[in-house]
Amino acid sequence: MDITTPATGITRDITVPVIGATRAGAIAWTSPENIESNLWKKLIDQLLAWRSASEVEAGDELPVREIVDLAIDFASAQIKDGDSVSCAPDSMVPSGAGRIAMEWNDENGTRILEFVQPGTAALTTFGRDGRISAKLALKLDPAGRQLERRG
Amino acid sequence: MPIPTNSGPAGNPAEVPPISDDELVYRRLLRAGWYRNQENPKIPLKFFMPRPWVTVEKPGDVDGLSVNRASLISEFDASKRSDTGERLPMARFAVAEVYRIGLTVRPAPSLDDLSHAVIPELNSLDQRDSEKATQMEEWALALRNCSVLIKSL
Repeated sequence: MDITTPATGITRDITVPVIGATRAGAIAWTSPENIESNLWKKLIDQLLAWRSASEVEAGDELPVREIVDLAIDFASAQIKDGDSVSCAPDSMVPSGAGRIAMEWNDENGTRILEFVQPGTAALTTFGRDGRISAKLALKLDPAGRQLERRG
Repeated sequence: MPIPTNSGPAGNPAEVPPISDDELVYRRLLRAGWYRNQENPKIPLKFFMPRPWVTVEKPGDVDGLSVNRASLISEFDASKRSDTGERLPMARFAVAEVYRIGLTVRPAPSLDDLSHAVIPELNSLDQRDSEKATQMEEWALALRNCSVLIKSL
């Protein structure tokens, strides 16, 4: 996904590589984009369920509301005109301390996008060797709901 | 901080045998989540990270990542929560793999659960150090990659 600053329309020279590829294996009468957008919608349903939960669920710490909202903003921005602009993650779990982590896996490795505090996320990329190859601190542009590099 | 235990074997913690290389351990996957593939989900890496330090009152997994020794507890009992009795999915991995990755497993039995053990390197105190946290994430990924999901999420 290109990280774009909506106000200027300038696309920065960083990408979030987990988000942008399209998975193969789509059902013939449904476009891959629609499959992905449906997955994003289900993921948003989970986020909304966490948002409306009033207390600790099953003994686990639920993500804090502001972070859920951040994840909802991000996930919502992955659907445009009914189609997905990116791959939905393999999983999304509360990652402790009120945070949320989305995880993607493919032949190139593993990527974790963790929403760590209101307006802020961290992208960790693991290579095929299992070593961390990149860490990016990202902030969410509230106007465009796009993640961009901090600082 | 009290470590959540299950309804494991009770007894005298002093009588717990040392951990051997050929043992298997279970880790209950506590956190609820969303999965792309509900039938055959990939275990999230974050399940192998300690609960983080938040405050003195909520210090997270200061003693390390909790596991249960398969030699001392049944799969059925290991999957149960102590507070609700709910059965949870678990990851299973070999102690030998833990050593291969560069980690250790230490018995941490309680009166209620003799099978409890910890991987002390994966603790919430070290996690506060960014360099150590990076190393812990790589260890967590390695642990995940050698684990088997033994119950559907």
